Amino acid sequence: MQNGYYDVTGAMVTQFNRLNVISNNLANLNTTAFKRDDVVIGDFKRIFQEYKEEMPLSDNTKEASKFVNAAMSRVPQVAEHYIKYEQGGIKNTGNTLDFALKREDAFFMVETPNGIRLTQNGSFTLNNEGVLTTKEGYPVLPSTYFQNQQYIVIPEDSELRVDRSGAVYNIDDEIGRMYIVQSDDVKSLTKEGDSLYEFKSTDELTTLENGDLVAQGFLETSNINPVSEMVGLIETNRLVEMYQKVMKSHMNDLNSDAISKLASTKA
Amino acid sequence: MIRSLYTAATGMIAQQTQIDTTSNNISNVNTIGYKKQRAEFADLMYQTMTYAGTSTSATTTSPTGIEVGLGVRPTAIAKQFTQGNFKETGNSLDIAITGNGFFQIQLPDGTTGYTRNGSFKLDSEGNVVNSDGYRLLPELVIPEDATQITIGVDGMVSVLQAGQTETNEIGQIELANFINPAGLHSLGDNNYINTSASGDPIVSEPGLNGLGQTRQQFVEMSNVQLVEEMTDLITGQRAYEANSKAITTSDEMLQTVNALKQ
Repeated sequence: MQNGYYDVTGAMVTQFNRLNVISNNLANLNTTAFKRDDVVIGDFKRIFQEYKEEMPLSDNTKEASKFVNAAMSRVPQVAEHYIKYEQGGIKNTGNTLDFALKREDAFFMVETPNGIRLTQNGSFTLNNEGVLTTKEGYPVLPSTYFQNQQYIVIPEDSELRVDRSGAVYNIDDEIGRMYIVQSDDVKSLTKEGDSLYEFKSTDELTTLENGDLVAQGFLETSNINPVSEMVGLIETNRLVEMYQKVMKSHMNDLNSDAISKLASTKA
Repeated sequence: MIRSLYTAATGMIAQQTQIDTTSNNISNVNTIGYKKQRAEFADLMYQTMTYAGTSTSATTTSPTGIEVGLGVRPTAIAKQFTQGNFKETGNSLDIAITGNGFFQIQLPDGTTGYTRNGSFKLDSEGNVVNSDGYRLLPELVIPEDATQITIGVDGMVSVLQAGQTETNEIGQIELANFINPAGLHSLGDNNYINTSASGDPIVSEPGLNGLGQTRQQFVEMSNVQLVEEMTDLITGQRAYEANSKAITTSDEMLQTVNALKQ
């Protein structure tokens, strides 16, 4: 069949993939500290160009052409999937166990059964032993965790207070600091679900200690802007319609005519 | 795709910023010492199809050129340091500044914060502190047996102590001014800190060097004008609607394009 038909098929598949990302963003409009996902759509020839350099055969030779279908020219593909770490709005909840990070590159560290993870969702709670944990029960780590493996424990009948730089006080005594880090390679962070991010190694994490980091009693809302997502939806919708028209032209007009007029078996 | 789809989206996002600013102002209409913010916008950029002045023939040039605009962006959310209204409270530690200047307070991390909020209190040791317990600088301690505190328009603090007939001067309030007060960083809690954009603080007595005077028993209310904010809300909402109309129109035009082929 014509290559054009496969080009728009690939393009339509890409738009459906993009629609998945947009729908996930919209579904998480109200999720605490959710960061928007987005895709970069590149064309196949650019991606193909990147890999072409690795081929052992020289260009423009008969041998190379057996491996290269240069006619598969410009099918759009999802080239990159990235997370936009812009700060969402901050809402005042008044709950002493709610924390909002005031920097877009800061993360809390939590311990999960699968390992240490990062999160920006600061709606914490206390478990039955008084340990500060996330709503799923993962303990929030203090800055001394790697030295003594202890969690942040709030004694009963105490008043937890966390100041702007993350130091934790039991009324007036400092009992530790929250472990707030910054990743040197945000692109390597991947979302794992439950508002958690997986990181490559602790070498890439820098501890943040001073400055305006945490606000107690506030929660960060998602950074989804519904206007941008709606424009993306409109674009996706109209593009899929256009591709559908192209596909119909190929099949119902060109090929159908070719078959009925040229390949007719009537005498 | 049609440019207007993205241009109108920038318009809607800019109006969201406008409404965010306006609602912050409205929520602080009764905050002592609050200075209202104003969102300012600029056009984003232009794509030049034809530069103005290029020649159209051997003897003529194009008088205007063709430039397509691409939307709007916020350029500043500037604090307006106009004077708020005064309210007489009768509290001897309530001070309003008539004119320029900020009170200096000691932030918990040791740095100096600045504020227009002059509603001060005493802590258990007699230090003059603000509502969060941050001390006023230069530090001022009111003696235990003071029965009356007087603060002059030049910031001189005198007290009348029990058993005495004349007042004692116990301290001097100093104010700080900045070349560019709009460049101060808002910490929240009515406090500011200086940045490289605001310049260094110029500290002196009230009434000197362009600083305003201190008026005891008054507080400065916020300078938010509800009428202005309501008008901004209305125009912001209508601009939002108008931009959304541009988006739906672009969508319908794309639908027409798609319907060209049956």
